[in-house]
Amino acid sequence: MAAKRLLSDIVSLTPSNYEAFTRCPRLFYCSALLGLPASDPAPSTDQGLIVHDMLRKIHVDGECHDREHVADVLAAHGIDTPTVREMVARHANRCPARAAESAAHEVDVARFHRLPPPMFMATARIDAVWIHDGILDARDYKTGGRFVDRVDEIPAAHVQAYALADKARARGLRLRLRYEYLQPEVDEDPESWELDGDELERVEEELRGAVEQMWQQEEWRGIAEIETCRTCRYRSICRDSAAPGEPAWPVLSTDSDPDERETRPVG
Amino acid sequence: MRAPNENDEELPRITPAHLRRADDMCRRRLAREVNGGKRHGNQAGDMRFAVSNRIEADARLAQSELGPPRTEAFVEPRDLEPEQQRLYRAAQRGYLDAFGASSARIAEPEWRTTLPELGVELSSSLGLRAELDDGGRELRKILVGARHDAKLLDPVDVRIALVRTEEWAPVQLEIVAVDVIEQRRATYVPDLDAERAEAHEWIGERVARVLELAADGRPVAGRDCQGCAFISGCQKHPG
Repeated sequence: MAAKRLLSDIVSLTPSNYEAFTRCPRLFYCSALLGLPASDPAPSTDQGLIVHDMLRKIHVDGECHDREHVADVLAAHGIDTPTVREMVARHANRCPARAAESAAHEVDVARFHRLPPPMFMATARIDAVWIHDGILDARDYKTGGRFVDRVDEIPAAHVQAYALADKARARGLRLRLRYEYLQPEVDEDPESWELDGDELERVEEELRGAVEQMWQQEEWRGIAEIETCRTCRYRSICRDSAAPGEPAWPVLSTDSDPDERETRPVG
Repeated sequence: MRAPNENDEELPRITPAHLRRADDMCRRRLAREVNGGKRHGNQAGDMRFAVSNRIEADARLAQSELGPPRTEAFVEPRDLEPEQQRLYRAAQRGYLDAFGASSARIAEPEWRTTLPELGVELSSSLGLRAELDDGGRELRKILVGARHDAKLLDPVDVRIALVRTEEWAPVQLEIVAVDVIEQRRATYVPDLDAERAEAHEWIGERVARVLELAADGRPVAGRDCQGCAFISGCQKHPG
C-alpha cells in the first residue's frame, strides 16, 4: 500500500520504530503502520521491565548505593532475587547520582522537525537523565545482549539523541548518551556518545532523510535476508520473508477444523 | 442517555482513553480532542485497526438475523495486505471458536452515546451487541492479538458498558471480552442495579475532571506528542 495512504502528515519516529525501519522497511510497515501483533515469539521483555521499574523506584525514594534501601525496595515488590540484585549493583557502579545536581527517571521527550520537509515528530522515553559536570547524561538500561561497540552505531540512539538535544541546549549542557548493560555476561558498555552541534545536525538530516524514504515507499518491500528474517517477529506471515512458516498464534493450534472456517474471496 | 443524531450541536466528545488517563495527558491535546475531535487536526494514518474493524463488521453481518453466525459473511479482505489477510483468517477462526455455537442477532453498531445530564458524548466502539435467542443481552468486546499483559476487561470498560447499554440491556447483561488470536476470554455478569448507579457516579466525576483539565489547555511536550493531530500552532513545537 502506498505510503501516502498510511503515513501521518507528521510522521512519528520512536527509537523502536526507527530501529525497525533501518532493519527492514517491511518490519516498520507491519509493526508501526499496520499495528499487527507479532506472529512469532520474541525474547521476553518481562525481566527488563521489572528491572527498569525497580531502578526508577530505588532512585525516587533513595540511592542505588544504599544496599539496605535497595533490599527494602526489592523485597517490598517481591522480587529480591540474586539476578535483580546483581543488575542493580552493576548499575550502582556506573550511576552518577552522587555527583549529580539533579536527576529524572523515565523522562518522556519529544521534538518536532518542520523544515525542510518532510515533517516528523521524534519521541522517546529515556530511562534516566542525570545532570553533572556540564553534561546532560542520559542513560538507557539494557538487559539483553550487546551487539555493537559504540552507542552511535545504534539507530534507536539517534532518535533519542535528537529528541533530547533541545533539553541539553536549553540548559547549556553537552549531551551524552550511554547504554548501561546490566546483564553480568556483558563486561563493558558500548562507548558512550557525546554529541556536539555538528553531529546533532547530521543526526537530524539522517532522520529527515529516513522519513523522506518512507514517503517514497510504494511497496514497503522487505529485505528478505535470512539472517535478519530468522529472528523477525513477523517472519511467518511477512510477504517478503526469507523464513516463512506458520504463525505461532494460539488460535491456530486449536483443534477446530479450518476447512469449515474457510473464508470466501470477494467476487 | 441516548444515541446522538445529526441535529445535535457538537458536544464535547469523551473517549475511554480520556477517562483513564486525562490527568497524565497533554492538556492542549486533551482540549482539542474533547472539543474539536481529530477531524479538525492533521491527517493521521489509519490502518492499525483495519483487521479488527473488518472482523467486527463481518461478525455483525454474520448475525444480522437471529441464528448462529453465517460463516459466508466472513469474506477474505483481498484489499488488505497479505499479512493482514493472514491475521484476518486467524481472527475469523478465533471468533467462530468463541461464538460459533451461539444463536443471536447482533444489533447495529453504536459509536457514540450522548449523556444529556453531563452535556457530553461518550465516543468509542461499544463492541458487538448480541441479542441472544432467549432474550439475553451479551456485549462482546473483540481483541485481535493484544499484548499478553493487557487486561481483556478492566473496571473502566465495565463502567462504560454499563452506562452505554442502559436502554439496550435494562435488566440483564453479560460482558464477554475475547482475544480471538491469543484465545483469552473474560466474562463478567454485573449486578445491574448496584453497579450501574456506581458507574454513572464514577463517569460523572471523571467527565467533570476531564473537562476541567481540558479547560486548562496548557501543552506538555512528551509522550502525547506522538500521533498528536494538533501540532500546528503548539507553542512547545514552534519548529
